[in-house]
Amino acid sequence: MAVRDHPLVTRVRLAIGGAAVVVIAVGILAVVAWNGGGDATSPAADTHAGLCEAMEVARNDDVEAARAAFYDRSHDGLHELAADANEVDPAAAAGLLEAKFRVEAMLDESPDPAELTAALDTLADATAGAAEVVGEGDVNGCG
Amino acid sequence: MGDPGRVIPQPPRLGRRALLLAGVGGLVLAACGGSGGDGGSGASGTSGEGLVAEVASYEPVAGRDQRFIVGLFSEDRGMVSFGEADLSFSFLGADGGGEPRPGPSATATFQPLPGQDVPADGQGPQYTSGAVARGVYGAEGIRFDEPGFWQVEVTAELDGGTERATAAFEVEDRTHVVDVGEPAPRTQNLLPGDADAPPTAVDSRADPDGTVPDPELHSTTVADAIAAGRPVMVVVSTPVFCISRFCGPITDSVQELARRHGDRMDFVHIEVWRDFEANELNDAAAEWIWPDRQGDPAEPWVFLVGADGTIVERWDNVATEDDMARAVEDLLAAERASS
Repeated sequence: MAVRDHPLVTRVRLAIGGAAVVVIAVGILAVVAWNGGGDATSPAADTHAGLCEAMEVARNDDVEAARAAFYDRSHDGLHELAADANEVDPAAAAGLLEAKFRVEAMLDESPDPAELTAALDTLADATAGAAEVVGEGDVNGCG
Repeated sequence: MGDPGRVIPQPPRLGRRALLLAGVGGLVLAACGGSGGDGGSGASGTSGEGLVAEVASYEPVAGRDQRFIVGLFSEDRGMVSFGEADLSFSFLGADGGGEPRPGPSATATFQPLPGQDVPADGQGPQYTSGAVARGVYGAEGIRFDEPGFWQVEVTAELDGGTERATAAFEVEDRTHVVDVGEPAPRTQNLLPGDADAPPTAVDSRADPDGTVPDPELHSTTVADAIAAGRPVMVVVSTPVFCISRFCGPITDSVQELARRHGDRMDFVHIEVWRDFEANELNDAAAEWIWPDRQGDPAEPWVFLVGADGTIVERWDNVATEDDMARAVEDLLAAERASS
């Protein structure tokens, strides 16, 4: 003989089951959003990665490639990050913008690759600091 | 006017809020990509392959002809540069919630940011490396018939197809910045060596010893230039602390004009910030870009002032070297003709 639950028990079970499904789904979505299926990173991390690329090619004396990496991968992201950081930590935003300005000023001239590399390194550090204050903590070193 | 050392009431920080709500960056409502895209909605900063429009005009105002500028880019493919783009405006109502009502339309041309050695145009719009070209699309004579929220649909032929993006922005009933036709503020801007202020309040690029990179732009006050009956170009900017993605070396461009025309008129740079970290505007800057202390101030602005002290031209955010040079030459020619 089949035992039937009281309708209220059924509803509770359904509710719990539904909630579990929702929790699992949200969890999966959160993991996917965080990891992007394995590849995605925060905008700040992408910006930082562009600086790492610029630094790498500058270290190999390729200033033009460094300029391209900076403007294509990092420039706009630095502005976004500075705007965000400015809302919560103006000092971090100031440090970021000062470091960015130094790099841009060097790129306007014919910079010594070693000096450009050092300026990019400073900017990468400032970027990581600003990313941390805006809660984008997935910025790692350039490796 | 112009007590340059005084700390003025705290302005809203020139940040994302200003970018989004005051029209500095516009309020990007929609972005779509691909050939024949129809304008799917999205938020500013969303990533993807689609074209994104970002309004670069600082304060569209109802009831007057004005320049309208908008930047185009894709998060994945970079800035759009060169050629032309079509603009179609629609009124969204006072609160932005209404059905779009068609407004003006125009063809906008690419306007490069200052300081670039961009190749001659003659090609249509295309995605470009930021290291090659950066700029906005601008159209003159745009008139919004009433204040409220508007949207612009930008259409460009890119990569053999038609791409569209839509951005919304607010049109105000009046300007909050000193305007063409008005008397210029007789500003006592800071000069190098002023004991009252740190060097970076004179120019955010200043060395700790007070050396500024463009001394010609810091050799006189606006008040003295006007009192001497000389035309003056005033650039209110912060070279180091500019946050807009459309920042360019506009102060350097004004410096170049000073080298060419400094014998016949004056050129003045007013640094925006007395103390960026403390969110303190220079009072001299506020006289120009935040005179009524209403709304969110934005920078850079460039103003051209005639010998009689009246503002004859102004540019918000992006001013091309050609436009500024042409206006300076026209003004000087007019001054010569009238003297």
